[in-house]
Amino acid sequence: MNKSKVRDEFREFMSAEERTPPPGVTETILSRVRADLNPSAARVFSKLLAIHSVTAAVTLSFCPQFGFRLLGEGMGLMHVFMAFGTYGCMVACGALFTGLSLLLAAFILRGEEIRKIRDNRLLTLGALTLLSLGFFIMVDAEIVFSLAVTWFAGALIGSWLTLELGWMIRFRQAHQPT
Amino acid sequence: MNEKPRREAPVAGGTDEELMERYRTEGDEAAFATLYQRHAGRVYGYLSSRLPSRQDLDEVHQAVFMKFHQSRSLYDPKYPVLQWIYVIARTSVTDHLRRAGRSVPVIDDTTALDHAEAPPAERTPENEPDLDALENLSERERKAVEWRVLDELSYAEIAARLDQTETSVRQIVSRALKKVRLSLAAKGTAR
Repeated sequence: MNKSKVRDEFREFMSAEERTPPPGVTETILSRVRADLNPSAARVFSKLLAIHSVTAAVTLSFCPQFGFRLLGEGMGLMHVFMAFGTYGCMVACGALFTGLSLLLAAFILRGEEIRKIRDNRLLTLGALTLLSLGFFIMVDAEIVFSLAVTWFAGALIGSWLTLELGWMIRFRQAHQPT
Repeated sequence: MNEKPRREAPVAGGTDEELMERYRTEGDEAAFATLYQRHAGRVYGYLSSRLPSRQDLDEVHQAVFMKFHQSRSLYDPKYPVLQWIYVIARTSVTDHLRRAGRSVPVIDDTTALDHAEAPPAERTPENEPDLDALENLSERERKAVEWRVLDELSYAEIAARLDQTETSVRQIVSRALKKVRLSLAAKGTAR
């Protein structure tokens, strides 16, 4: 299309007589956008849980948690983390277990869903971490209270940090000029 | 005809580009609602000159703004929001008519449209489309808008031509487009 025609068409658009759209159409548009920009917390948490299930299964293959390993044998990454001491190892294991999930979620979930998590991060990440701990209790993992608290703290902080890191990377990527 | 009262949408201030940035990066619903309120009338009017039936008109109008919403991450801040909306509207009409198996007609304002609430206005000298809205800009403003919107030059290129800073050029273009909108709105309310 030549520039002259583009110019004419754009002028026609700019000078178009304004007409009010029907209220029903306007309401449909606004409500659909509103729903899209405000996803339900339950739906977002379900998606996060699904992502976490997959990454947890992968993580448990090379880094046992509370002595529980999904595939293979041996200490895996625990062997490396034990260099930080018992409690350092628990912090690192917890951070890895949930951190990978949140990092992946930061790139898989939609921006509005990530915002939902960030707006309720303590509740969401706390719930995710508690559910994970509950899973290990269910499979009879070797859980000692003091170590569990340390693991919980590591998991919470690790997931928080990786969520923010993923958000920053994605936010900067998304808002670079195309 | 009495219309049902519409739910009041939250209103945000700022230029179109500022609103678009907030909407795009923060998911600001109020920013979208304001952009919609500002431009829905023009889009609907533009579409009404191209689509023969009310059903098509409503359907495409909705499609335009849903595409606008879905493609917000693709918006390039180098371009005015109005240009972005125009491109989406134009391609939506073309796509709709092709899907319907129709050629893209040139339908002028005198074609009868089935609009119960807004029958076509009688064409008089007072309500002719105001193409002079662009000519009412200063020479610098007119050139900046034409280079930006029609020739798709970057702000840096326009700044070089006008011997201005890039920031200054962005403000010139934004103010000029605002003047055009106000001029056309005033023309509309004066009827």
